[in-house]
Amino acid sequence: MRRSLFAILPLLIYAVPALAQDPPPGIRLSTTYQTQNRPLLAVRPVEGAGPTGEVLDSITTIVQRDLLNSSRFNVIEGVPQSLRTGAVDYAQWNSLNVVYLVTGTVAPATDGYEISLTVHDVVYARVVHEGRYVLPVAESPAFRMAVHALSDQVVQSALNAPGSAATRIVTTRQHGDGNYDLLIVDSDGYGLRRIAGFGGLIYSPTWSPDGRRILYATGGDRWHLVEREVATGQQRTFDPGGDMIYTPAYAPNGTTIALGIWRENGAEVFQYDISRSGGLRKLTGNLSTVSMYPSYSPDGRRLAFMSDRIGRPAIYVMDEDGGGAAMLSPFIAGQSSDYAAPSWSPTGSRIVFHGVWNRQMRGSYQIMVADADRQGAQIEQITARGNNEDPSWAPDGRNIVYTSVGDGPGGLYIIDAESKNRRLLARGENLRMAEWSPLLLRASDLAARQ
Amino acid sequence: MIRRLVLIAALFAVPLAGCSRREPPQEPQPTLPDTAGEGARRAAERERMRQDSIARANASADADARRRAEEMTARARAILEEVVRFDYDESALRPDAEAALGRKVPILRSNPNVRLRIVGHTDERGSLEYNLALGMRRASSVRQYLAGFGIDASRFETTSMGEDSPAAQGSNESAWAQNRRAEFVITAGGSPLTLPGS
Repeated sequence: MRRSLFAILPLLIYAVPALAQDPPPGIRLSTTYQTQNRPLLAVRPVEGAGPTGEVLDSITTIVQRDLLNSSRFNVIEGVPQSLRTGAVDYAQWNSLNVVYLVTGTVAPATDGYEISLTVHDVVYARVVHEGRYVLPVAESPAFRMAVHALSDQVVQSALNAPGSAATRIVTTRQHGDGNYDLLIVDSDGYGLRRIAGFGGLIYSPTWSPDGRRILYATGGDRWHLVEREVATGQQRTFDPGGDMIYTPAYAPNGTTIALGIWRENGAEVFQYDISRSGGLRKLTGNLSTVSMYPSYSPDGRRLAFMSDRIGRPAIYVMDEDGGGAAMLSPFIAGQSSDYAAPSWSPTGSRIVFHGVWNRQMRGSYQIMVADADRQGAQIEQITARGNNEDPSWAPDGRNIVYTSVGDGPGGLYIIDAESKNRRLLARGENLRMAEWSPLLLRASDLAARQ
Repeated sequence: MIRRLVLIAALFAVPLAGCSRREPPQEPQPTLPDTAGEGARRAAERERMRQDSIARANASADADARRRAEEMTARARAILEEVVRFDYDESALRPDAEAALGRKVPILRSNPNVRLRIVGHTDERGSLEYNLALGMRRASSVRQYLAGFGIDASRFETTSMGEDSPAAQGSNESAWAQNRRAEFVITAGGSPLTLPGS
């Protein structure tokens, strides 16, 4: 008897964690790191007479890092000396397995530099993009963003896909006294700065579709919305009524918003027109349950949102007018799941959200990806450790920013939904809520006059 | 925001407690002309001592009444401000919460000018914004229960701090249990308070 018990013991030890960790049917754990299918890219050090070597180096470094961050390439570190200057020798680059090559030449211009940027397809031995762009001086606060726009041009030219370098992420930092600051940070982790701190609550900041404004909910005595012009700091306030307001989200038109409003005994998703401070319209339910976290599809015709109408928080998709709601998150009988904070991909039908399939695991939320067009299909869980919340897509529809504690240093992380590669964007356990901006600048905005 | 309210309440409470009613200072007694003689002077002295003694007795009785009123206000206030707690992810009232709310009812009845702000709180688990709504659901559940005793629901204002204002720090069941709560702030009619039956 004693012997057989000892024989079973190791089995029990293995079985218990397996039961706690393995997702049930309907969720596929998919956290494998795979980069073997990425094309190899090289950035040849940018050349030029006029700007200092430091400026040239910083352009090269920013572009290299952006292209690595795009998750779409493997990027060569250290270009061989023999290939650093002169005419591009495709055969030599080809022998290094390089698929795409970026070259650039910089010359001084009025108030900055003019860069001639070329993107080469090494395998086919041809130029896929050539353009001349004006960059502000390196000391200008606009310099890095302009270089990021060039990086996005490289992604676009090489792969005919959107980049996400010329973007920022908005987040909030919670102080020990419960008050919040509003922060923004560039997509490569530079320029983390506070843009507002009011000694009050700042909830659910979100970017306008043109990237110029940030809208958030604030409250205390009277909950309202604040829309802040990022460049000037100018603010407008909106009061859609109700006892509390939650999680505003812009429609693609930039004037309609959807948000959660508490009235009477519950919260529902409403539509509200900020251009005329009116036109409030209820899209969900009867004010006896909680529905919030709306997120518009890129065409503005559908909305993802969270509702606890079946007694547990779940993700739904509905038409823009509130009709045809259908559950998207997995429903598993006997499991009290909890899913929230959906974000609709700006490039398609994928929806990312956080959740746990058993509410006793709350506090260790994981990031999950579903397809709005394939309801009932398996959900992909792309994180596995710590507590990960509030995901938001980059405009490339591939990278996702989210808050994380308990899996490495706490802070904002970016994960590539394809390779599951993850990087720390900004450190800080008290960073709460994150939203990725649309593209803030395009290379075409910088095109030099011919 | 809650801390600010408490501070404001405290600012009001301190001066009110400090400025107790006092007897007006004694008028100076007219001095009898010297011609009235020693007997008259002694009679005047006795009369002055008698008046002083009455004044002292009155002042002492007033102080007693004042103290009793202050004690009653403090006891009523403590009952009104008693926090009620909730189970995990629940806004339904537990029996201990119903008992605590039941103790508030007679005080709310006997002090019809009292208005309360009910602030719902959650533990740190759960989604951040959803917790704001869960706190609101707890505050509403408290308001509905009190209104069920026939107390005008418009005397209660409800709001939520979600998980932003924990009563106890820490990521363990003991801290979480203390943080899942509804707090009460007296926003009007809180001084003085009477206890029913006294």
